[in-house]
Amino acid sequence: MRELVYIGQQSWLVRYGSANILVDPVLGETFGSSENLRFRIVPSRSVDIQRMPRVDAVVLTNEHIGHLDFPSLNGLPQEVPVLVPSLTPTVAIDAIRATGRDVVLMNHDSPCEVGGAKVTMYYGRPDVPVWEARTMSCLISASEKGGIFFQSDTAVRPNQAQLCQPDVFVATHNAQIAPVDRLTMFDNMLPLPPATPAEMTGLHMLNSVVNTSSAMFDSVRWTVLSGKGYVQEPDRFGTYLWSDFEQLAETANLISLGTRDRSATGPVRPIRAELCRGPGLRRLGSPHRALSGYQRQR
Amino acid sequence: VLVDPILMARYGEEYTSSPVEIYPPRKIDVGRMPIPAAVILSHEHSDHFHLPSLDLLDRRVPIIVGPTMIDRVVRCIERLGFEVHRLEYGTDHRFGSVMITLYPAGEETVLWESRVSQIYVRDADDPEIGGFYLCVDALLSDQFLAGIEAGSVPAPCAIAVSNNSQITPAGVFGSLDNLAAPDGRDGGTRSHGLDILDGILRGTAALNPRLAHCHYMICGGGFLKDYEEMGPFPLSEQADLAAAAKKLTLGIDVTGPEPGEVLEVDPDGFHTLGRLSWLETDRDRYRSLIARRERFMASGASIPMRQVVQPRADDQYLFEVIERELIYLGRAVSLAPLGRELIAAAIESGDASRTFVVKLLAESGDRTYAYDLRTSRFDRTSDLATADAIVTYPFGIVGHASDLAAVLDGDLQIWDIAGVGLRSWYRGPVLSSPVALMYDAFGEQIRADLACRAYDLQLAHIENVAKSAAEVELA
Repeated sequence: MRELVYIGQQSWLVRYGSANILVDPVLGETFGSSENLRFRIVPSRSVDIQRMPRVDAVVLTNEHIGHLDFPSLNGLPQEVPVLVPSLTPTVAIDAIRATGRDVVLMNHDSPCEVGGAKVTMYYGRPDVPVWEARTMSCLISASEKGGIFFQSDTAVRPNQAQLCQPDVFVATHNAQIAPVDRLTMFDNMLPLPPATPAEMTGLHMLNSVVNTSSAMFDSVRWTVLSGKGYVQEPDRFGTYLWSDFEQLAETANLISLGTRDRSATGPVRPIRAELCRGPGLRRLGSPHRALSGYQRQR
Repeated sequence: VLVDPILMARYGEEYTSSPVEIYPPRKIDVGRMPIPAAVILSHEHSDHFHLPSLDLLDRRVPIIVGPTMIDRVVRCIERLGFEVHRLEYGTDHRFGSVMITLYPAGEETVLWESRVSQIYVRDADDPEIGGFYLCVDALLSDQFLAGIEAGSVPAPCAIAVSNNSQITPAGVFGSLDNLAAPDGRDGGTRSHGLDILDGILRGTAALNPRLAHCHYMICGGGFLKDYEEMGPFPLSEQADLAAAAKKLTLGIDVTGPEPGEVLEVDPDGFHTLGRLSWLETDRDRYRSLIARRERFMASGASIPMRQVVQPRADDQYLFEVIERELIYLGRAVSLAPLGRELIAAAIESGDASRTFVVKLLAESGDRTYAYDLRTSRFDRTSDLATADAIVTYPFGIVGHASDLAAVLDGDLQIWDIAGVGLRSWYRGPVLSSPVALMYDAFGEQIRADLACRAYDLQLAHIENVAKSAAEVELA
């Protein structure tokens, strides 16, 4: 039995066999380092930690505030270990240890058993921006083949498919596309034409998210969109353009074709490439059972 | 003005038993069609240039071609009684109320589409206002872009781009698929539709900031290849792609027009003014073709390689034709991107005679020909089963001798058999594949001598029909 539950932002609960693993848990309604600047999770939801099932481990793919959230960690029992990339800054490791938790430093392609499931973490491409260069992707699996791959905030290495064969790929869409008349972090104040015309940014973004990393794996059957699930408080201009993941998934599915099921021993069987988010994940092969600890408010 | 008219339900009936059906299927009443001020032919490929369709038109209609149209096409049209005009690129010409300017294909266009003349259409009474630009099957013209940049021609209001992707589902081997790759191609789960839209829309808009504000029409891919069991290619319904594109773009309009739809374009986008009375989609046939594809894809069936034509002669004749043309193919290989890949493969393996193989299936026994890099020739070698050939040689082609001989004799065109009756395997990029080489080496742009035979068969068919009609009238 396996189940993937979307909690919000880039937080996920993975149930694999008898193991419950939280990935990058941000369980509050907001997160941030300062009371003066908060980031509110969208779509808004509430998490009742008391009713959440037992957690066997927390995986942190990087130490950024959208992934390492101390109020969320502190809401979990102290005996839950925290798995982090081996290159996580010492200041972050010390801070987690100061809460009384075990920290497990994860090396590239070196798996760790958690409650019967296998957690393996991988560093991304070396040419990602330096502020994401310590980020690891994470595979949660039960055997040599298959598993759920969380891309997180890095780019997948070209040879990654030689290391693992996930059938579910959680792809990250962190593009912060503002309305045309608003400048965001990488926009140029000089009136120079951008490499991608503003009219086509959404198309380019979705093609990159869907067709760049997950397409490296012949094994992937489902691509799941994740990422950028928050808005800034105080508000700047509301949600970013093309941040409705369900609509993006629906659009991509409209123009996607069946992929190949090579695990079948009979004739090649086409299946539809599904791109979906949280609630749509009952296609994973086992009956979906919504966890009562999570309520989604739209 | 008519552009690239195919006015029949199918083309190719004059020279093959498996003619190509236009998609979406249409009902056309040519008798009620207004007489056009001109017909423009963008290039000579069979889905654009169709003599039996031209034969339906009034002989007073001028036929317009660009500087790169092959001479034999011009002579065939003239033989039907038309006057053909070659227009220079970048010059404005008025036909009725329409201003036409032709431009060459973009420089990065693949060789087999490089003869395309692109068409800029403007209102002849108001040519300073941007019109619509038809890219046809090529990348947008660098000369046109330079004209926009220099201010000598207004930027278009709308651009027609082609989705000719011919995506095939699992179990259907596409023309440029790879026999050595799992299921014929590399890569895992992709959204092919996103790839297509990103390529044709963003790829065009990014060429020049002025193109980013244009509206886009998605056209092309308008025929069924000989995959009878499957029917239409997935993702060839341009309206679906346009609907997705509209959700992923800002401030521009994207449409996938359907046959007979009358569109007007202005800065706000496209507006449907109505529908033609003499041309409409054959909705029953359209629905049935889509249902056929859905059934096929749900069934998980696959389409095996098949013989496209029955041999016209015995195997000995077929192999004589093939062996004669393999001398030409050997030289073409050495000049093509494939040649560089073969050198790399030989350096890796240390064997210059085991890089590329042609395996031909025949009644009297299959034959295998191996390419030798040191002689640039194909030599007959001991026959190998296809599976063994794929393991032994990094590059290869397998097909029926009768089909390849038909192409080399001019009875069929290379596009008719690729994927359906001829398959290849390769390493490296798709444009270095053996089938891409065959498109280059045996397409009309290089082997007009082969293409001419298809034109002659069309002309003979037209003349025979006319003769029979005259005889009936006389009787």
